Amino acid sequence: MTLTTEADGRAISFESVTKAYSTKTESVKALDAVSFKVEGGSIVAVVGPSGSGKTTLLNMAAALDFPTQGSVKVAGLVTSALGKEELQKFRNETVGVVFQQFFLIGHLTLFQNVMIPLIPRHLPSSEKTKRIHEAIAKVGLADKAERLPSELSGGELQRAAIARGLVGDAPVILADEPTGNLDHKRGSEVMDILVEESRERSKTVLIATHDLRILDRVDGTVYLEDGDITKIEGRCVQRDGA
Amino acid sequence: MVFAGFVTLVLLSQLSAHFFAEAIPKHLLVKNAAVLSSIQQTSTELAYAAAALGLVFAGAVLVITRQKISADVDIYRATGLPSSEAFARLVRSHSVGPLEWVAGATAATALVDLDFGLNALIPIGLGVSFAALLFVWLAFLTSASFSQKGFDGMSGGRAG
Repeated sequence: MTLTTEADGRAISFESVTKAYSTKTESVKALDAVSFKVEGGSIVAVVGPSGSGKTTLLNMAAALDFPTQGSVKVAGLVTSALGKEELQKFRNETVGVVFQQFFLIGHLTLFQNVMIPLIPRHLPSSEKTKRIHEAIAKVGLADKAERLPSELSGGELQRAAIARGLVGDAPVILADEPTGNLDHKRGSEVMDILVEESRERSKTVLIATHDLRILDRVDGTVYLEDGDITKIEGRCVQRDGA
Repeated sequence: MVFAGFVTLVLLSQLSAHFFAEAIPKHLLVKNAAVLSSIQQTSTELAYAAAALGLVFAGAVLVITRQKISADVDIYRATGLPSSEAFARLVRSHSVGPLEWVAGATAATALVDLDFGLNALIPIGLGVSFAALLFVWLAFLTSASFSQKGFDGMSGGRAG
């Protein structure tokens, strides 16, 4: 019973979520009445071509964007109902986001970039330092902690972004193309980390990806095309309210 | 750095305008009151024009850097930092260098002015205005990022 409750507390659900963007001449739907639920503690891929709505979907789960219609619930919280401070807490403690374009701050070192999510946390600085070094080591960049992003390769930047997404120990990890800039070996290592977060630490991991090679490493897959779900695989993902 | 360099040039232009307006006529012992008045008036106008242009161009420089600074704010917002903390970090990372430069250039200009017995309030006022402009700009960008609905971090954020 406890396990079920805990898993529910880490679940992600999209209920009839539509996201429309208006231009001068037309309204474009990035997501069109999307409904599904990811079981807490599982690792799920969202697959689809460019422009299918994967990043929009992830941004919604991260409460960085909000539905035009419908609702997104993550770890028991409806994102659009959160107040300002709750939203900050949600972004800081509930989700760890790995951005497709890394979004590292150019004038900060790798260590300082990875530290950002820990800034608002009330932790002793020794604990923060320990966590940062652990996160950096986990992605294999222990010897590059003092480098600036401009001194890192594309693959290293990707792994730095992953370290920042993991350092806060959030129960939900959202990763946008985490293997996109990596060769097969490095991509596989990154997947090892994400799978470990799910299997051993019961985190819910949602990955937006083009990389079909990772599909045999995940518990479920949501296929997205033109903002609509075309197929769902895996028992940990259910069509919800559709 | 561009902002700071530009500020220095403007402050130096203030200095030279002052120099023309007061020091040169004094040193040349110009006797003709009409000539003296004409030189001083033209120089004063030039000084004010340079100050106004300086503030306009400084604003333009800030606008050009908007994308880079906005990307930083977006990252702070996305990782759950409060806006006050994001602003503080922005001030620390994007204003210390320019402000040191502005303070140095203002001090140098004001000291030379004082040495020539000229009014140093104009360069000091200009230096303070540049600093205020920078703070207001950073506050505006922080507020703009934190009040937006979607995520635009993509507004230029990339690494390195």
